[in-house]
Amino acid sequence: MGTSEAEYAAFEEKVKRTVYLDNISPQVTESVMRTALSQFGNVKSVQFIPNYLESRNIPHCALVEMENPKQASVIVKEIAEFPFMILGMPRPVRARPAVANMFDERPAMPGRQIQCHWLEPEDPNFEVAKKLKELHGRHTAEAAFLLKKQLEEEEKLAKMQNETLKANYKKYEMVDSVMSDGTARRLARRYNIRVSDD
Amino acid sequence: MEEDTPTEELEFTWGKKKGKGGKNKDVLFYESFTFDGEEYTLYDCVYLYKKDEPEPEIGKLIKIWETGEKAKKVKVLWFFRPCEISNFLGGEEILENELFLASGEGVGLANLNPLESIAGKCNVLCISKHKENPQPSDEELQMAEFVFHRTFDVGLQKIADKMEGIIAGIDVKFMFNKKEIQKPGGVLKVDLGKNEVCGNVIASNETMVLSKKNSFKENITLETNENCVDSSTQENGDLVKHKPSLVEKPASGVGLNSSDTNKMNEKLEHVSNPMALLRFEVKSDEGEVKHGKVHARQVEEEEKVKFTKDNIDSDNRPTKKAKLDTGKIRERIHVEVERKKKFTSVCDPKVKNDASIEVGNDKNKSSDLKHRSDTKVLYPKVSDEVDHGQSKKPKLDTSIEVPNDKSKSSDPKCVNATKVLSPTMSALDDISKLKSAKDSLGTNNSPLKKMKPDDKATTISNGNDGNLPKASQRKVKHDCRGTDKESCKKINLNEKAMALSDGKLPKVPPTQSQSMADKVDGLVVEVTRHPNGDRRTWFKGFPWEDRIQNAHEQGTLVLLQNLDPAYTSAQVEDIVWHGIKESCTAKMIQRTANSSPHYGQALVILKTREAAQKVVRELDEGCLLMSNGRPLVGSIGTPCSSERKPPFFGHLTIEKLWHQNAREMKEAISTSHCSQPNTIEYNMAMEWCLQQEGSDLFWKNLYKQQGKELRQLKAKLKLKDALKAK
Repeated sequence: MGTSEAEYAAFEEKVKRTVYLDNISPQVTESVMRTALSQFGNVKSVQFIPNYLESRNIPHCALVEMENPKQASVIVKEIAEFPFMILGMPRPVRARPAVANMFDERPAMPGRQIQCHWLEPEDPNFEVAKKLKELHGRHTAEAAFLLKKQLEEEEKLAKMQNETLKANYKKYEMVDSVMSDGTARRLARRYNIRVSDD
Repeated sequence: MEEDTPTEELEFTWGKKKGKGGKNKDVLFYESFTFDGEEYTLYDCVYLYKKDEPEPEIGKLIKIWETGEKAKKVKVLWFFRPCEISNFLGGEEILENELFLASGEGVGLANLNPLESIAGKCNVLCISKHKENPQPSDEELQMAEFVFHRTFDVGLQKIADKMEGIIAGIDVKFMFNKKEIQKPGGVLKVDLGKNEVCGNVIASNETMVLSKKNSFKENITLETNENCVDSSTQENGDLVKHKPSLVEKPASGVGLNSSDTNKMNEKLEHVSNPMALLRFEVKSDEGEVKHGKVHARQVEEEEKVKFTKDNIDSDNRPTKKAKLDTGKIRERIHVEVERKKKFTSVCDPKVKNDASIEVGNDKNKSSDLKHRSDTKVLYPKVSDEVDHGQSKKPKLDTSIEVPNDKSKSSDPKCVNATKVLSPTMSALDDISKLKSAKDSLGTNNSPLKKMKPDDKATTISNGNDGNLPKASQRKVKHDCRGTDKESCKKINLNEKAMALSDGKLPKVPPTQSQSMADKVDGLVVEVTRHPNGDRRTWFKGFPWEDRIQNAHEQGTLVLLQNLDPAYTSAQVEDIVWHGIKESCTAKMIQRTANSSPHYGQALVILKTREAAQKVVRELDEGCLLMSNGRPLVGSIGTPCSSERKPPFFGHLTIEKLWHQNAREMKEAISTSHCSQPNTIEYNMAMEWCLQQEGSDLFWKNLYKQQGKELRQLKAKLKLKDALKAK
């Protein structure tokens, strides 16, 4: 349907070279991504997947095209093994091999024909089609619900970690201050305990 | 030899001897044994429980012997679960119940264990494509608890895709599935479907079946036919022995008992139709739930709870549905449906449509919905298909009358005259695209058009005596539109569209004419490139963000759903063109990690608000069925509002430090790093990873379930072959 086999083959080749990343902070820009991933190889292009429909809170996703499929697979592997963080911690990004449907301007699969027709109400398929529509509605509602749940859980986790971090930092600060202003030393002398930094 | 081990009092008998030890003549090697009611053979896969570990290890028996001191030992070659070697997997694709066989040299390859540590048999199927490996059938795959086809070298710590050479001193061909051998008094190997033993009796008697039993399979659902039993008494003897063994299986057998009985029961049903893979799916789902990780199970159950909740909610509050914006739309559908019902009775070509007209009018007056100007109806679309016959003509005449009346009586924005037509038309197996869909016409000028229809009516009806003379139609359109100040540009566009489509027409009909013959379906339109399609490449246009916002404000944005995810934006535009006769620009929503694999969506910007509403309305009321049985769903698009700085959960900062470093931060370029295991951030990162994996899992389960429901419903759709071929 308009696209040649060669065009599609070229597109497929591009898909193989591309990595899909998500859980990206909205503040990450293209140059940040580029620099971050250039340690894995030569980054040819970075494309953020725009989000038109979901709520604005979900983390961003990007398609990063590398020079060859090997580099792409290395990225996926490395990120799976070690938590890779971009522009903030501790939430790591997630990497996957890209899929054709993730791309924006993509050529249609050649040799495929789409057909469509209107069903008349007496057609027994009409009822089924209506049910299909309802089913579809339900499925999208389910998916939306699940997404909401996921975001809620992520928020919860982030809050929890924040608390932990704060508590830890407080402890650290306290220890640090006690050491630095000499209180520790004085107490140690009082109780005859050694406290030294060696 | 009968031995009762003092500690556990579990039954044990040796089976077939294999040989004597080389150095130590007291050592006896065996090929099989029966332990605690279960028979094990060399190269069987077994579960072994380690102390304090919740999940058992899975291993393959590669040596069985009894020492001089009468101690029974086995050498076990280990299988790795994916989670155990996740570090070395990288981004590899793993099947759900895949294991990795240990190979190479080093720790973790194999161990010697006392025989009594065996907890149960495990059904691990080899799906390697090696030529020596008997490929398992689908049923076997469903029944298998685990599969493997790759090995993990413990020395090199690498995964090998092919199974070759020697593993733990044993040729790899022993690792494959057992070939089918009939052993008297031993293992029964009868194929599920092949009926080797019972001949054709099984085919008729569906309650019992001899399932394939080779040493890999644990689910010994050996309910035999009475007839079968008769035909081979020694098998009977064995079977009888095995039946009770199934029941008595030790509780430590990894909780498989229940699942076994379940499977047995299900098997009874399933067997009645071995081809009913659907049911096998159900079974395997259950099996997966039980065999999968506990975590997964919990998640799934959790998720099911969520679903039921959600379903209940959505049942109670139908307006909750995301797609249908308001309950109002539901009412609208009801209205239309009612109206349509009335119209269906009008399908008879000879019937006068006056009745229908009046009905239509009443409805129009009563409903407060915006509708299209009826003048549209006038322009029988030059559809892409061959025009079919004279029977069409009376329809046309009546159809033309309809708008006349309507346009006089009701308010300018009047309806579904298009809808009126379509049921009747299609019933006649007409070129169903008599909806003119020249919606691009500004509908505001309907008063002007009132006169026009009358004039043009005659020309049209005349014109339609033969093949639709495109010229006259175009002229009609053109004249009418000439009065429309707003949309003259669009007219030209459409006119050109007509011209182009005319040019294209001759080619398309031949293929479609066969499908036309069927009375049941409406017109099957092949969606070819619509005339304006190539224009996309002419100019880039504004960035989509802005376009979508603008469109939303103007009310021309429509969200199309239930598309095949593989469609491209261009194809979506074509579909809208051919199905609804609207020209538009579309953008297929790109797929992300959590998008449904079953449905695709696209945002479509139409020319005018009325066009958008018309599209939505038509898709709501009717069913535009695309190939492979997907009815298109449309609704007014509501993109999310953009926040300036959306909060991103997961990136934490310590405020104090942040302030101190604020100045430095500004100068810092991108910061990205891999976290080291000894830091607190590493732990937190791990928590996030866990969270991500968890959500991945429940998305996967959700989509799996949705896919199942979808398939079930689609199976009810009786499509013609022309459509079925995707």
